[in-house]
Amino acid sequence: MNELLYNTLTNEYITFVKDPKNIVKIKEIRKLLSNIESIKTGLTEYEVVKETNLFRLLHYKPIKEQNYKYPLLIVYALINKSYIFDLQQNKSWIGKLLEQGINVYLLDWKSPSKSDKYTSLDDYVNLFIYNCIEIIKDIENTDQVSLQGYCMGATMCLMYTTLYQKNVRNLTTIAPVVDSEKDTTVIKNMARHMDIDKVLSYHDNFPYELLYSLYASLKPFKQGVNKYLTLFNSLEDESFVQNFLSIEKWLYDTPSIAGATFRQWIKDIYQKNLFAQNKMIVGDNKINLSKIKVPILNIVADADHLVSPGCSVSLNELVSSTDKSLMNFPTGHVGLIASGYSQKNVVPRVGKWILSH
Amino acid sequence: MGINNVNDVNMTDNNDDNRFKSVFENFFRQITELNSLTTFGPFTSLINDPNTNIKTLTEHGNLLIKYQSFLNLYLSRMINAYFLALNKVSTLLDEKKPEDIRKIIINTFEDVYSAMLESSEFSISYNNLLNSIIDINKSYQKFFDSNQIAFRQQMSKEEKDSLFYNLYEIKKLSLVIKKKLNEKKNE
Repeated sequence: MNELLYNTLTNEYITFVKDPKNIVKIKEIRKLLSNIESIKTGLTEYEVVKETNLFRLLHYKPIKEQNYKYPLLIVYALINKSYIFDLQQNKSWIGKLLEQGINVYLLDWKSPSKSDKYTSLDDYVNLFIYNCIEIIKDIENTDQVSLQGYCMGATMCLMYTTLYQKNVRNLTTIAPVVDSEKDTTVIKNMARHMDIDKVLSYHDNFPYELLYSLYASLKPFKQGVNKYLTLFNSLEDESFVQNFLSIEKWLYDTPSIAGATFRQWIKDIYQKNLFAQNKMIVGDNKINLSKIKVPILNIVADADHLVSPGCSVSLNELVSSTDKSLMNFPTGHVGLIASGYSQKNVVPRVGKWILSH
Repeated sequence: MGINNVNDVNMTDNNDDNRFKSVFENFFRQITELNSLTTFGPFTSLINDPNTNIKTLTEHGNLLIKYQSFLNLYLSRMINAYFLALNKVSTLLDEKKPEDIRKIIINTFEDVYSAMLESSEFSISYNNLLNSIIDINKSYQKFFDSNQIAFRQQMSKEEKDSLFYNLYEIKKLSLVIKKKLNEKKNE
């Protein structure tokens, strides 16, 4: 360490600890972070339509007259929790869709137990998503639903659509994992050398602790360190603090992933790229993206560090839909669905697209 | 008094003899009981097949050595990145304001660590370390399962897996039947 750096850091430190206000602020931050569980999320009113040991199907209470015939089913990813779609009242993806007169259902995945280790992608797609769509069709007395998936959930929606296209009115994919050859993220880098058989020969499900270690590798300083400095400097801004804490709660609230599902996910998608090559087998069926002909809207975040934009953008070339759109937004993976930016720029456009299809 | 004294001595001798005999009898009884306990306690592992345990422990030692070397490699990558970032920060510093310096530090560390995390070498090193931790855990498990020290009631991992798989098959079958019935209803 050179002298200038050493002196600068020492002076910074001394100036910092000399000011008693800073110590009070640090205590305040510690208190806030230790009570993070009490942060309220998912405030929009809903009814649980169906619940099993692995999922809940939620139906949100309409807040205005519905002006769209088809119910929308949002399929969340298997990582973290679905309340990111309804994080706070002023940052609720679901709330904004309800405001546009859309009838919203959400597929909320639950944590698999050890005895769920053999639950596979086949089950998620051919049984759970299938089952939920049948239930919605029955309730709403309709033969089609509008389908929307986020991240892994978008990939599973694509699998479902290739197999049961007649049930899908239109499809919105938000940051889908499609062409892993074009993925340059740290996640892809870690996944490509992972011996997933070995990991799952010891663990029943893919443990959330390993997911955390992967997350910690993503933007470790700009997000991992800098965000706490920003919190320190913005402690007086109540709105900022509330938003920070709800995101922070969500970041560290992730379930394990069912062993058989994650094995196929890592091998077929990240290591062999079979999904983008139309060679992936789910259950008894080969997933062929070129079979998709329904209207499709693909939403991509330009600064996504969990799913590279290129990995998602490829989708538009792989499907056969004549009505296909791509929307790029200058934000990140989470910012795409749970931010002030998203509320102003993303959800209104997505809702508009759904209503027009 | 004298007689009494003699009697006292005799009684003491008899008492000592009895105590001595009792200790021996107790010892032999305990040894007999211990030998009969072939299915209980840590003795199972020592009496039944000590060679197996010695082999397992040797393998375990080798795994620990392997783990140590992967851990060293992993940590050395981390430490090298730290010093590389520190050197870069040093070269970028001038007479800058504290806010700028903070920004330089964060950006430089981010660049250096991200480059490391995105490299193939780090991914291999990370996964080697992860695999060696799993090997060690499995080795513990193997030792535990093979000895079943005082835990005969518990199922081994293989037994649990088999049970979970059967449960999964039953659950899946019921869902598939429901789905088929639903499809038939919609036809």
